[in-house]
Amino acid sequence: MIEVTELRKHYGDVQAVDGVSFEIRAGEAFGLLGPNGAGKTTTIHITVGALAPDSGEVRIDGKPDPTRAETRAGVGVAPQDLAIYPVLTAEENLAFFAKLYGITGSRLKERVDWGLEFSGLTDRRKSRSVEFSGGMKRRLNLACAAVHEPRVLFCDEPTVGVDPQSRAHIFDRIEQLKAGGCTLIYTTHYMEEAQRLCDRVAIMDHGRILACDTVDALIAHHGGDSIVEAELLAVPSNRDTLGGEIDGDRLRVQTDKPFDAIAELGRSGVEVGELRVDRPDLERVFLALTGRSLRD
Amino acid sequence: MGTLLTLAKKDLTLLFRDKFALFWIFAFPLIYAVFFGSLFGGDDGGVRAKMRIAVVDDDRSEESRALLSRLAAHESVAIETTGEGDDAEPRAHEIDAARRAVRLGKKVAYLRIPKDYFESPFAMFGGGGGDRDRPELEVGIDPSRKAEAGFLQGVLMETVFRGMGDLFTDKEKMKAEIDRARAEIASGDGLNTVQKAVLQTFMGALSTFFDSVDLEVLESGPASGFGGGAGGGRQLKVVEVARDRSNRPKTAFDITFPSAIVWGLMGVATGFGVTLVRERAQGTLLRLRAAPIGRAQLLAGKALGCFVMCMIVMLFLLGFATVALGVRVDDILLLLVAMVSTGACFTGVMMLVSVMGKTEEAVAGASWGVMMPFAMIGGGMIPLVAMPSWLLTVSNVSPFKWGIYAVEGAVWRGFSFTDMLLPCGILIAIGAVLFWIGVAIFRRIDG
Repeated sequence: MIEVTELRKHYGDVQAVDGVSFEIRAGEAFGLLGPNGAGKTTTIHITVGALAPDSGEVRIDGKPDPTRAETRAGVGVAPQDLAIYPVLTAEENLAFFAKLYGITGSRLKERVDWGLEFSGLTDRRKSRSVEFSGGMKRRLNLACAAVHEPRVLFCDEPTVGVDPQSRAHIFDRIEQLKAGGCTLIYTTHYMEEAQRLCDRVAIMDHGRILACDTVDALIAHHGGDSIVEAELLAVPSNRDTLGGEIDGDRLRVQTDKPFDAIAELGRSGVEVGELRVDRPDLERVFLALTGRSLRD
Repeated sequence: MGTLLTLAKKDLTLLFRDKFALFWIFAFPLIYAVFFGSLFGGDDGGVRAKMRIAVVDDDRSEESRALLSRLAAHESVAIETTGEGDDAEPRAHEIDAARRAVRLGKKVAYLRIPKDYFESPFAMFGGGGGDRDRPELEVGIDPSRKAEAGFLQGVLMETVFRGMGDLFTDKEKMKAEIDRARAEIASGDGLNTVQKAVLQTFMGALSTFFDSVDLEVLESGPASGFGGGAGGGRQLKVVEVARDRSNRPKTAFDITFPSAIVWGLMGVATGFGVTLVRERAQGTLLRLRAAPIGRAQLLAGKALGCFVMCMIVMLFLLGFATVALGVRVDDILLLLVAMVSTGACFTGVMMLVSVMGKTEEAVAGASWGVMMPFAMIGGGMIPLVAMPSWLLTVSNVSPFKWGIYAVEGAVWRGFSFTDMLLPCGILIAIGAVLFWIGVAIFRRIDG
């Protein structure tokens, strides 16, 4: 469906994208994760044809040049910025973007109504978007990207800065689109979203893709061991028999078989208060690959 | 084309909902034009202000002076008499001067009281009794001033008849007039014996009537309104004096409105220029760039919106000037050519303005900063007609000058199509060059 090969793009001395390659299959949800400035947005802009790469190629449906009108007609973009017109009403925004894709007449009305329902703004259709809350704007932003029924939808941080209710609404709607067969390219800083939604995830940093695989495979390769942490009600005199590290009354065991470790703890006869298992997840993969240093 | 219209409509909607921009585009130029137009004289004499009339008194009689005195007292008329003096004979140059004043638009009309106008034996009845050679009041006015001509005739009739009413309520004057009429009837060659006898009898009866009648009854009775009915037959001779409109503004608004237009267009160029950078900042440009429309279409849509807005501004201001302030357009077709050329030029200006900064504030600041000096030297501040020659030469570098010049050319400068080619050609060339530069920079910025 989408083939990206050796994309490169620089701004002055900064190499924003440095040899990025990936493939996305039809109907797949593909996550693009990375810290701020990793090159995700530039990659998306190049992929949708809004930005020309220094080198490299993007093919959509086997055809080069994503700027071709027929290719663009099947693509939708929900930018990270709220790409809606504040002084236009919800329905005017939807109608404007639908018209750009050649939708007119009764179908236009139908799609606008769909967009309003999709964004939960049917009751506010005549309100200007400047009057909306952040969550409402985000929902409208996504609806405007999907109003023309694209086969491919790029979602750049679609849930950033919204309340949990709007976030849940947006996420539900994206899952709905995915269930309808829409191919999704999804960037986010919320790892649980990527873990829940994406079939595959690419982790980027410094303009490069560091790893690209299914979530489970990434965790298996880069997530490390689980950590079993137990509160010891009485610290035994012979600490070595427990395995792991004891810090005060806390026992911390790093293992790839956490249930075995818990069973062993039970057999040792040590009295345990609170017990916690920290399994590896995408966030740990992310930090493992990109490091813990701050990005500005 | 549908996409272009969609883009243009969206931009126009956005601009029409921006109250701040609307102020600079519509309200400020209107205030500017009306304020300075009024300050510098405004209308030179329409029906709203006093009509300025040149008067040539060839009769130089007591009656003619009385007529002019009554006319001068009229609230709607301001007269300037050119025939005053000790000299009892009329002077030919006076009527020439009056006609010239009307032709040049300095006076709305002229009124000529011919020699012996009040010597007619039947002048007291408001006419010459059907005498075709009798002297007539002569009014000279531009044929296009239909409203003023009608109004002025009404005022003159009213004034003349009011004089006759005065005559009928003044016993002594009336008796003197009757005596003069009887003498003229007695010596008249055109009347046979029977006619003379009848008229003398009538005049005698009239004289007796005035001897016996109570003055108060006369003043309060139907005689006070006598002139209106008796004078119904009196005619004015209306002479058409075609106005020489070449190189002369008709009113101060002829100057201030073309200048105001460029201020409005400056607001449009800035307003639209800002929208492009605003689209980039708010992310809608990315969405537009990802839609199935080319960059050329995107910019063409923006340009179309800007051009349409320029036309709306010009139509609004000139429409207001025409309807509300009496500004007359010499040639509508040439005005259309001037408007299209000016709109095209400022669309190019908009394109350049839109790439002069990376933020709205930067674009707006740079736009006003760059355009203001051009506006000031181009006729936005000092009217082109009032510029010293050196500044007029300097102003050639300003697109504002050519915009004002083209519009003025169609409104009052009396341009021919050939005359219009120069300013319009320059405007279109400037617009095309600036648009091309703007697009080139935009392409570079856009990657």
